[in-house]
Amino acid sequence: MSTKTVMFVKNLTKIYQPSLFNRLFGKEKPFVAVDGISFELKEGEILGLLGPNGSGKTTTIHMLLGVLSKSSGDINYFGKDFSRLRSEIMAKVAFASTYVRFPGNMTVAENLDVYGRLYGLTGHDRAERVKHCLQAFGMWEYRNRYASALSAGQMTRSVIAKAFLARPRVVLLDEPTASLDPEIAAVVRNFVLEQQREHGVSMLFTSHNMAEVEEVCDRLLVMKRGVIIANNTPQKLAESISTAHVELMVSSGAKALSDYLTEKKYAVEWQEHFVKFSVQEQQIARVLSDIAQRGIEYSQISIDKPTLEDYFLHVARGRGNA
Amino acid sequence: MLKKLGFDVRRVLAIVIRYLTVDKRDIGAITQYFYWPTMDLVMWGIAGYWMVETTPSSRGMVTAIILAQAFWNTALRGSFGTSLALMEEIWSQNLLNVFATPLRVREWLAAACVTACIRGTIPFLVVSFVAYFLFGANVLTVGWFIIPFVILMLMSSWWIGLVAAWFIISFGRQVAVLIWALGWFFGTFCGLWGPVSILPRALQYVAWSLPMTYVFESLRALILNQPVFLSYLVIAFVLNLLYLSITIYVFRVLFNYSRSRGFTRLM
Repeated sequence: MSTKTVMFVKNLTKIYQPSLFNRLFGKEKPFVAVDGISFELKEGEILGLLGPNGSGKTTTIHMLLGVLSKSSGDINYFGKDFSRLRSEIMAKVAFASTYVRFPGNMTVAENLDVYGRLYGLTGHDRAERVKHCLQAFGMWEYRNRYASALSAGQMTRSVIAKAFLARPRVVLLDEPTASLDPEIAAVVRNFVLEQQREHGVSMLFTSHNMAEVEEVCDRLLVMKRGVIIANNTPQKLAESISTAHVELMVSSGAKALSDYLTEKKYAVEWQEHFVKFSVQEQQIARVLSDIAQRGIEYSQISIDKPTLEDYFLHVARGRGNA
Repeated sequence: MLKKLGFDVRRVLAIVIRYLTVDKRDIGAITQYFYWPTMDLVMWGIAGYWMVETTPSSRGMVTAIILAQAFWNTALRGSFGTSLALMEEIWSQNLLNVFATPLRVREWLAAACVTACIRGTIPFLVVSFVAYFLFGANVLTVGWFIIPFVILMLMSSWWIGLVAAWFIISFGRQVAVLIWALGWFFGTFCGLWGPVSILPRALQYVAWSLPMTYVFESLRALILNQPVFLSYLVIAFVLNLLYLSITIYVFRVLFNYSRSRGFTRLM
């Protein structure tokens, strides 16, 4: 990953104004969907955009594509002002989302051909790229199938293939694997990583699959209620949560253990001989020592360190530093 | 030169190809090209035949009505072509996809107008053919006027279609019915089925404000061997240009308004 910035966003804000009717009768108030966010995307970087539903991720992506106008702030790609040079910039920026579709009465290949033309690909090169991208996502055999006859997963793969058609420098991927089975999702992730590694493509990636985000993203922006509340690597964000999960297979002293955990007010879950409880990471040693002093015996132990999912749940449940 | 004006011909062509590809296999589009224009004509042709049988002196009038159908279908089907182009993107949930590319609004507008020309000219040819073979009304009897008449009708189709597109870009699929309603609204008041002089006074003002009226008045004059005013063609051209400029401007304003509220609400 280079240090060159390909996208720069400063104080980006989106305020949805009520319609004229609602404004006149005061039925609705302006709604701030994105509130002055700033960030940058480096060349060859995969930047994750995380946050609970309604946090402003899709609004941000739509503004970065120019399909939703910003209320204020600046968007720059490749050092150029996006509001002035949108068309020129968009020739190098692509987009895919699980939530967009192709016209159903055109085949997969016809749809990609039209998009290839929109991105300025010509003749033989366009045909080659269509073939290459469809093959990469296992969609070549479906090229003559109408888009209306595709499954949700096949449609998503076709839309992702479209995004990489014109050798973009920046790709915005809005939940690209949401409708895919694990095997195909892995193909998409590998393709994304290959594009980053071999072609230096920069990507903005949203997903609700935390394991995927950890695997793919170099850095994460976490949004909540329209603002960025964290900007760090997946590992650092996970580490910022100190709750660990301890699981024991209790051989003897189950009653004593139950009393101890209740006394300490830990969140406990029993399943026959197994007990699972959450505890602050730095207290694990003391808890295990207390258990030993009470004569409680266990034959198995597993300690799960905090994950990105814990961090996400922490944010989503409102304990994040919004 | 087009590039200097901010038009990339390849992108315009891409959008035209997209719409025509759909037309090839869409039964709705095929009925717009062949079935409805033919039905329009046959209906008027049958009524006209009866009129000629009962009143032989009405032959010229009937021919004028039949040929007016041919030219009117150019404007009507062309206008559907422009507005349906936008509606197709909304129906297929492709609006976001298509504008998340280098495509400019002016390029999409140009593509919609080219599409309207194709979607308007084919019905004109179909109706002209049917009018000649079924009812003996030859569109070529208007001579070289056929060229300005068709051009003026196509220009009218652009702005009529764009008026419908104003509503579509503002309110989405719920106003789809306006595509057809608006076309017929303008058709009613443009002297298509009779001279402007037979309309009530107030409607005559409406009629003279529509460019299509000047084409139909000129057409009737040609068929009935009355004097044809070239100034009518100039007025029709100027009115078309004026309405086209206004409709494009308003469309762009509404497009930007819609963009500020998000396209997803339209789908």
